Amino acid sequence: MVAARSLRPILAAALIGLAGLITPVRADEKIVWKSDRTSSPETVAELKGLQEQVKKIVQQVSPSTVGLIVEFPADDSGPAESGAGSGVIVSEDGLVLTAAHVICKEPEGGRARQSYRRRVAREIKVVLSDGTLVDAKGLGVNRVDGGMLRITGKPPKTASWPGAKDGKWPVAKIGDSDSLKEGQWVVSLGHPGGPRKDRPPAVRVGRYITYIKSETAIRTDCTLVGGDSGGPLFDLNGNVVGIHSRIGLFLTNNMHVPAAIFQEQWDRLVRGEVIGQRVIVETGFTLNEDAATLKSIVEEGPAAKAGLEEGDLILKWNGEKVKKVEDLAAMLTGFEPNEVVPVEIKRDGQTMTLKLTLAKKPTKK
Amino acid sequence: MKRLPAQFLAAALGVFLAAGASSAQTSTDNGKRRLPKLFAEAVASATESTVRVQVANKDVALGTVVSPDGYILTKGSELRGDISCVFRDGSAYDARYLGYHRPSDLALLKVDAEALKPVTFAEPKAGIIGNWVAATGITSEPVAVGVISAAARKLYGEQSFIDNTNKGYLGIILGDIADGDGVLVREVSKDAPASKANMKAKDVILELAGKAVKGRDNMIELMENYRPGDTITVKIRRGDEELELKIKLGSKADLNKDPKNIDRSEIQNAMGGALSGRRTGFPMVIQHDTVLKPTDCGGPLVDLDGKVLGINIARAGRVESWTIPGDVVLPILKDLKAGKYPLGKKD
Repeated sequence: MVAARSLRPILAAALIGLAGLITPVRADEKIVWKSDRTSSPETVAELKGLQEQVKKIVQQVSPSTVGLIVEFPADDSGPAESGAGSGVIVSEDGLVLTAAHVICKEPEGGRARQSYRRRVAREIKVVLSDGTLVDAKGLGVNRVDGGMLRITGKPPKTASWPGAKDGKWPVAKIGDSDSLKEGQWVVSLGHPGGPRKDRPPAVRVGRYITYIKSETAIRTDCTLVGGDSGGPLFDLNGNVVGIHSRIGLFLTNNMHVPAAIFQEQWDRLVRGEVIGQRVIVETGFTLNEDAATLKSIVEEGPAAKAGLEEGDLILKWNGEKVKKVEDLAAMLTGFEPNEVVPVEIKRDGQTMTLKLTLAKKPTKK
Repeated sequence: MKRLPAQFLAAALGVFLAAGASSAQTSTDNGKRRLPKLFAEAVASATESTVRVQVANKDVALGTVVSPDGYILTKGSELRGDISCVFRDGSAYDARYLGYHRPSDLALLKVDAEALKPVTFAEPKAGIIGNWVAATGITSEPVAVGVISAAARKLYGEQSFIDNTNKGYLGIILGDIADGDGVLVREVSKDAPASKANMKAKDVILELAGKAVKGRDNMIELMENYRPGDTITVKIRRGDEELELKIKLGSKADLNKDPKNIDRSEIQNAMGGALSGRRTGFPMVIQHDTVLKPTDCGGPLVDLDGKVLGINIARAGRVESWTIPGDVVLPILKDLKAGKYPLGKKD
């Protein structure tokens, strides 16, 4: 009696199992790969499904994946240099995400003697998918290797992506890097070795491994190498979830800046802010809220020594036009103490340029 | 655990970061390792046309059977000595080395066998980027799998120069001679193999191991025949004199002690595994992200439908392995069989 009863669940299981075998699976049945699936393909059909999804998004995102060629000015650490990296266009008006170290020369061996502002690339060219070069200007960077730039040129006449004739750029959407799960399949595009003739951004497929909190970096096994910096990591929906940053010794050590960081700091990066500086500089003036006019001058502070006065209207800061007082806050970042900054002001109808030597902001107890 | 420095990835800019990421293995690695099993059906046919190429019973490459009567193509740059080929069923044959096409690095071997199964190269087609591919070996599973990163392309610039980093090095910088044959020694690196033999800047190299040196490219080509540790006789002209120097060649690693020689992209490309010595200068390549060992080059590359795309020719970098497309292989094979590239001939 007992034996018979205990057999029933086994029989039931066996029958269900058999039913699974008996159900006909058509040889040409297409598997659609779910973009958030974290397991490996188990059959050839699943492998093909994953392949189709990869190919679909590569087609979608290739136009927005770009190469970058940057020229760095000569500075205290050495002569002028050039470098190459990658990026991804994320807005129709030409905002491009990249790695900070692509557009800002990293100092050899640690601390910079020069500020970001003096280490930023003088000339940035964006290499489009058809090989055309267009000019771009560096915007903000942060300390976790995120960077942003804006294309200043226009789409070439031969451009065929939607909106090209109206001056719009092909865009990749930004995805949710926080929701990535271990094992989830991802695709990396970039220009390893720098942009190369006859080679569109090289495609690699891999999987999300983990988020390294101490590095603020996503780790995947999509292999990366010099030239890939700043290039996009996509999920299988074709959304940018990371920006390539650095590698470790093993092939499975590939680190990307999480897309979430860019989303959090978007406005600040667009305004050109250098985010996360350790040393704050003292200008010795405060600004009014409604206009870029000086509200007060600290006695014997840097602004006072430069000859600035209350009421002066700042026209240009460090050679850059000041359009709104809100932008000025971002433009003040990225400097080091003792740097001399030219400030063009208007006072009583007269325009003049004064030289401001920045000081280190005293730490408050 | 010792922290490894991480490398930033702008080309021509590489910076050591004072902190590194953990190298702990995770369960995702097991997942990727299971993939080759799924390719068993796709590779079955091409595996029968794949051989293991050995020199002195040591694996040096894989090979691709291209005729039923025993013609085999393989990667030629590391073949030296007695060559043998081992098939899937374990049978081994001595191989004759018939010809070498230097630009493609394809070598033609012949074994005395019959009724072998040759590969059939598929017609090239568009839209292959993102396709799964597998490099076949002589077991039921492929030696490496990955995806196509870039379709067949011509190489330009530095990648188009033929060079072999496994060769023996003198440790000198070459220059051109304005008039006449030979090659100028512009500089002899400190502690270089050449300096130990008293070679000096402004010497003109006339002969290498008895062969006349016509110019810089010719010198590089001749040097590819030698390996670190080989001793060669170099005939030079210094002023009015002609001298013979015996030089024991060093390796590329020896050279890197000179900071002038360190190339950041080389360092990064070497992170994660060995690269092929000859990894540039091919006529056309298909690029994929398989992790191919240098000694597993020379066999076929297939897609999920079992179509043979070409012959794997190099582990070219950290992110790439390269394959010569089938339609590029075929005319080279024809010329090799016709005796157009016998060994010892300069092209």
